[in-house]
Formats: sequence, C-alpha cells, structure tokens
Amino acid sequence: MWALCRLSMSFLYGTNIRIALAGFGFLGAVFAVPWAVLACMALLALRFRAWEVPLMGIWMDFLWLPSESLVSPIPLFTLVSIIIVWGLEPLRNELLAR
Amino acid sequence: MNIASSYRRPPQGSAGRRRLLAATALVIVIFSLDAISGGMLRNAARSLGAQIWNAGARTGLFVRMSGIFASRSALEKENASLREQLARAEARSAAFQALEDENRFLRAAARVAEEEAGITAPITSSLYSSPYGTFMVGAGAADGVAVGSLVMTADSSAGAFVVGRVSAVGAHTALVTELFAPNAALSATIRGASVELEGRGGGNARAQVPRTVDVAAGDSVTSASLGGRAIGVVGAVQTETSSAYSEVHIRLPINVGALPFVYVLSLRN
Repeated sequence: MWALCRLSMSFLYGTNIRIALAGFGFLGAVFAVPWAVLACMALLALRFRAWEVPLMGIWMDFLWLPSESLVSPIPLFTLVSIIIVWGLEPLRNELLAR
Repeated sequence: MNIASSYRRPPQGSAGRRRLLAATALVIVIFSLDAISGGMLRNAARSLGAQIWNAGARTGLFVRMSGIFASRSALEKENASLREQLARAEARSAAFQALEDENRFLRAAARVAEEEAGITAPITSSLYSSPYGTFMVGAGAADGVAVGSLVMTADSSAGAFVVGRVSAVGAHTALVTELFAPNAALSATIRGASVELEGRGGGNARAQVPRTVDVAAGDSVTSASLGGRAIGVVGAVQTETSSAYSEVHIRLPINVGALPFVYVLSLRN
C-alpha cells in the first residue's frame, strides 16, 4: 500500500513537471526566446516519450517560418523536435521509466 | 521521488512509444495538409498566436497597473483609499501616455502616407521569439497587404527605415521577415559603394567594404533593390591593416521593439 502511494506520488510529480514544461513550451513559442522553447523540448524529450515535443516544433514553425512552401526555408524546429525525441529514445530506454 | 522506480526498462511496444509515433505521423500529416491548403493551417496558427500575444500584453498591462508588485514600503505608507486613488490616477495617466504615443506614431505614419501609399499596422507579436527573424503585424489580405510589400518604420524623429518585407499573408495578419534576419543577404549602398549585407538578427547586419571607401559611423545605408530607401546606419567600422576590406557593422537606429506600429507599403511601391 505504501509502495503504491509512493508510486502514485512520483507519477503525479512527473506528470506535473511534464504539463508545466509543455505549457511553458507552447506559450514560450509566442512570448519567449527560441532557446527557451528548445530547452523545454530537450528536457521533455530527455525525461519522457513526449508526444507533445513534435507538436511544439510544428507550432513554432507554423508561427514563425517565413514561407508558404514546405522546404524553403527548412522547418528547423519541426525537424529538430523529431530528431530530439527519437534520438533520445535509446537513452530513455536504458535509464528511465517512460 | 523513487529513484529506483525511475530506472526500469519500459515494456516492449509500450503505449508511450505508440503515442509518440502517432504524434510524429500527425506532424507529417499536418504539414502535408498545410501545403495542400495553401498555408491555411499556418495562417490559423498565426492568428491564434497574435490573439495569445494580445491577451498576454493586456494581462501584463493590467498587472502592472494594479500595483500588485508595488514595493512593500510604498504600500505600508498608504491607506486603502489612497491606494485606490493612486491606482486610478496611474491608470488614467498611462492611458493618456499610451494615447499620446499612439497619436505621435500615427501622425508620423500619416506623413509617410502622404509620400507613399500603404497602411499602418500594429505589431502583434514578440520581436524576439522567432528563430527565423520574423514578426507579425495586425493587417492582412483583407487590408490590402500582399506578399512582398515593404514594411517601414513610421518614426519621424529618426526618419523612415525599411525594416522588413511581408513574406506570408493571412486574412487579418501578416508575417514580416526582417531585412536583417539571421543569414539574410541584401545588396546595399554605403557612401556610393555597393556592398553585400549579411543579416545578424536583432536589427543588425555586417558588410565588407573596400578600405578605399571612407566609411564612418552614422553613414546612411540604402538599398537600390528597395527603391533607394534607407535600411540602416553604420554603427561601427573595424579595419585590419592586413586586410583590403573594412568590416562595417550596420544597425537600425530605431528600436523596433518599442514601436507599436509599422507602415506597410502597397506592393506597387
């Protein structure tokens, strides 16, 4: 029972951090400097299999990318988000719970 | 937090991995849909972003005017009725100052409009959030803004400078790419010499100018490709005796971040 409680608390703690980082990342795309959003994406990808990271990348590019075509200029944040979240998969598999 | 439970191999084919895969596929689908729709999804995202920015700006102004973060010592010296009166007086003063500033900018824009046709548009985004050197203005296709339109300052005290070009247009918002966006290239003229500017972001650029050209800080920088309009001033000149070129740093003499409005020229200009 005690172990179940501790597991629930750690889950909620991790979930709260994830929600906070994701919220800061999505709002930061509008208000903050790009490095802050990149840091949120990296932290989320380090700790979680964060499906919101690719969505954060495309949100950033849709807001700021100065083109109506797909390839010029390159949608940097979308590509970086996918690379980060999948590139860190082996590390997450090795060290972390989810 | 239980460290031991954090260091555990996840089960094969976990739900998290499937969700991540679905999100990645969704991103690709969204990009494809946006391309098929001609940028409709991007325009919707930018409209939403502009609304979020405006809401945040209004909230920030309300928080500042409410006196929540006033110093503790100042609050201790006031009674409740004086605090309420002071907040009202500050709000009225701030509103008057904002209207005065807006009037000054609009008068300056009107002077620019006398010479060149266009529309005054408010800046509706942060100027520092874009990794591509872009920002949003609150005017779009419905207001006559088109891709390629030049965007200028309207500050009469420092003259009118071209700050960017419209690169994407929605119904009521437009995305402007700064002339000096990172890694942007632009042909310019300094003291009669043709140079190639390299954008550095934040209203700054640099160029290599032959040492035979006598360039000094404060010299005007114009661009023939933009109708000979001013695009900046020389900020600093660095010369190495071993080099045939001087490195010239160009800047906008106006803090665009402090401007509430810009002037978008009609495309025929």
